[in-house]
Amino acid sequence: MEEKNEAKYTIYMTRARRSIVIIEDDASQQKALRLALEKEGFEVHAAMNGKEGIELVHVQKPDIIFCDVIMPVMTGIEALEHFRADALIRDIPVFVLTNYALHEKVMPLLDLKKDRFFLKTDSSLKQIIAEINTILS
Amino acid sequence: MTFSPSKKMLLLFSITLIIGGVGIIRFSENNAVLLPVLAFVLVMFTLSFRTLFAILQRAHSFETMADGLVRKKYAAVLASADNESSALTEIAHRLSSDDRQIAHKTYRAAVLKEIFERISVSLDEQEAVQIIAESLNRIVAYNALSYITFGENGEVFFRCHLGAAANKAFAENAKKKMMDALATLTGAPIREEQMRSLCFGLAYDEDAREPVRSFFSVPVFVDKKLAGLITAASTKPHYYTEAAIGVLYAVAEEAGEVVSRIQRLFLEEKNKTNSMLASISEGLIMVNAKQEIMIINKKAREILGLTGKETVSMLDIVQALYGKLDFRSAAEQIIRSQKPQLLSELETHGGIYKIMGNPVHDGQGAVIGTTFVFSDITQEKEVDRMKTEFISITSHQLRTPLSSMKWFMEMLLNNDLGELPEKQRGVLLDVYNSNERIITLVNDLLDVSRIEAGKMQNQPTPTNIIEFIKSMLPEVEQNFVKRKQKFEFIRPDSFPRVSADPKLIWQVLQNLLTNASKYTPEEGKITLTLSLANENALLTIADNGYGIPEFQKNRIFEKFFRADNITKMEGTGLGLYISKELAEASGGKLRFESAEGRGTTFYFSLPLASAAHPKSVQTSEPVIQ
Repeated sequence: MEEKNEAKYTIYMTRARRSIVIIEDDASQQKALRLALEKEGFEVHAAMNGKEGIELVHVQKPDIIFCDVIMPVMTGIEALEHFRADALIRDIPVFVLTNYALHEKVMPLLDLKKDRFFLKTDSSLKQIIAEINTILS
Repeated sequence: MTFSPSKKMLLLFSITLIIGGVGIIRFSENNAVLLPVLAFVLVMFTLSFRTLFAILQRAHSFETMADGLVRKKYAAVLASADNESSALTEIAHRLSSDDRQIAHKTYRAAVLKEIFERISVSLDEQEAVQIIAESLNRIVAYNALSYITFGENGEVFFRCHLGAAANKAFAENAKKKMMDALATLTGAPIREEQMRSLCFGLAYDEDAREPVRSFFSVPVFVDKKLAGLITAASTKPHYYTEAAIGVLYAVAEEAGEVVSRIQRLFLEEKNKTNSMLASISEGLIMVNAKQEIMIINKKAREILGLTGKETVSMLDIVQALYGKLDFRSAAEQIIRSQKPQLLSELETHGGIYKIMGNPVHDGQGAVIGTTFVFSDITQEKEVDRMKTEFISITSHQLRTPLSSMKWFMEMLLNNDLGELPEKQRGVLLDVYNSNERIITLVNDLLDVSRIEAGKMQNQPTPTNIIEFIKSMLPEVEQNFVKRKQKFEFIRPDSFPRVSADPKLIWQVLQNLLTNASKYTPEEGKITLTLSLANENALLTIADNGYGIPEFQKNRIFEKFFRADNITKMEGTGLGLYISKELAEASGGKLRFESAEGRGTTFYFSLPLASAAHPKSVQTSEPVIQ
């Protein structure tokens, strides 16, 4: 009985938790982001490239998407273009987290009312999380 | 009655023979008469021989004189002359003919000299004919002088100069005579529509009624082709002597030969130039001021896909470049501005070409056309692309591990992964700071690479500078707090928008404020002042820190330069170089004043949005990352 309640509670909590899809090919960065975001109470799903990311976003319909730029199989720019074209996904905020220097290629794809661009080396986890809270509130 | 020495001699000799002969026959028996007769004959013979001797001696002295004076020229005359006076007449005649020859020679020299003088400008058949025709009045007089030359497109240019009173009918008659002569020479009559006539000199005098009485035509041949015909007409009968016409023929022939030779020389030079132009790897087109194609080399034909064409016209080039470059306007514009111009890049299946247009000046500095040079930049473009790609890939590769370390250490330092003992925490903080230093260095190096690759993008937006500075202050103020420095931001209540790329000026200001903190001792003072100066926004960043040594002031914007008094402090020596480049890329300026030991003040000026973008003032705030 108690177990059942616990399970119900968990399901309820899972639905209530805000979810994030991280599209990031670097395992170490993925891990760092996952640790930081889970500690903040987010449900974290991760994909290793743009293609996997698109599938995961379709399945999870997250509250926010973290997306790297340079990735194998499909780049973040291609994934972003895909998100922009999909009416179901278009409104989900996207945080582009990258170390890719040519951000003039990325900026035109962003809607700065909800999307953000972060240069990883110049951004602390604290800043990123603060920005998530601003966007989602 | 006077006798010439030779006649005197002949007379004496004849008298002697008659008297001697009669005396000897009649008085051969009478010795008393015969002896005196014989004596007389002897005396007379002596006299005759003396006269003969005198003649010979005189002739000899003439010969000596002539020899000395005119180098035996007239010796033959004297030797062949039957007497002295006829010899002198002949000499006089020859002397006057010499005068004429000298005049003719002078004339010939003058005509050839003029032809040579005009070579430096330009010389064609038409001009050669003109020179000869216009110089004709030096040697013969005429009422009308006409000459005909031939244009490139079958035109026949008729020019007529009235040198002395003549009526229109006279000129028309002279023209008709000339046309007839021309028809005879070319074997075909000239059609009226081919004719371009021009008369100059004196006005027609309708009172002058005299007809053409003397007339001659001289053809001019250049390279064995008829280049022109010169005709002189006079109202005087038998006016043009064979000798004068002969000289004109000779001069015309010689001038024609000279022009032929010069043209051959020009052709040789032209062929050399053409071979050279054909061999160079750049495409080259030269257009004259009349928008005609003067030169197009092999490479330019290849680039424009015009290899099959015999001659290339302006239209061919305009069509070949259609949609890529307005060739005609570019040529006009360069002639007008007289300045070289880098035109659009041209991408063809053969490669990418840079097109450079240059004005062409003549010897006097006037612009007479335009050259277009097509340089192949396919390789440069590829290298440029690779360089840019290298920068971004490298930046990505270097930054990836740095950002992982940064985030993990951040979590450790925040005790997100469990409480960290104070000692370990201290060490980890050192590692974290070192990591930050590497990040700064990588970022600086990337900025330098991007500046040098010309990839630093400036996208100016009208910016509320007060709000902008307020948004960036929390980050930089941490430095002042850490170093217990006093910081003040002095500003007016409102300020016009400035035209700036927030990303770029953020970097400049952040760098200047960080420097101010770093190079000012603890408890020092830093002031940021915003003011208007000469229609510009002026940001003044003043500190009372270490200052810059006088002798190194001229080097502080150099790459990797660090002043002697701060070498012990960390830094890459790239910050001010980048700041200056970015300030200038933003349309602003960066300068400074400094006194060692007293402090430094940087002045960063930026254009106001109203001045730079009068119609594009936006109401929304720029988004700052």
